[in-house]
Amino acid sequence: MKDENAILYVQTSGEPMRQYSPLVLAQTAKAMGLNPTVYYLGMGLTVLKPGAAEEMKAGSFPTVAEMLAKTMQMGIPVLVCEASKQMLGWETVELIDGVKIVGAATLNDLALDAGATMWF
Amino acid sequence: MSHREPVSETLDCIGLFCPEPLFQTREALDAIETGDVLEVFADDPAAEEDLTRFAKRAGHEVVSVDDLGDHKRFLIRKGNQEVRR
Repeated sequence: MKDENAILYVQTSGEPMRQYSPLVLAQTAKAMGLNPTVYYLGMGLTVLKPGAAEEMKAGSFPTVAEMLAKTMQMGIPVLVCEASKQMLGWETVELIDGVKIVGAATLNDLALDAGATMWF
Repeated sequence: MSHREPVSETLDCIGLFCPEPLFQTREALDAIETGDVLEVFADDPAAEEDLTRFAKRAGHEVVSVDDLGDHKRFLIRKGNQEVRR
């Protein structure tokens, strides 16, 4: 169902410096009373391998692991693309706790329902 | 909890991953009549969210989703496909 207050943030990269913007924006959206969702696709999944985000830190910012933990603590859904797991050959790899595995239909549906979608 | 809906067709998607269960469900629904119920078995962790959203978007009704441990059973009633939101 269309929700003009929903913002969908899609992370397609595993690049450390690209991790902060969607998480900061999603947390800010939540604080603004909006309904953010973060979706990890393709190489973005490399960030969700246990231990990976702990190694990512930019300047005086918290680590990406801390940013992800805060995002989930705020009740922001963190969704992960199933097909991307297959693409990486990660069928048996367990991702960090708290993320939800979904699929292609879900991303399309979320994009149609959201007031805005941002790609990172 | 198991539903006793009369099932018109059964589709086994065990072992298939996104987006294959969705493609096969779509094809199976195309092959049955409006109002008939399709039974789908799937162990893809993405299947519940994907099939539920697809069904709603395409005007079908998810009658039930039963968790059977290592896989799930979906009953989907084919809707009138003219009615799309």
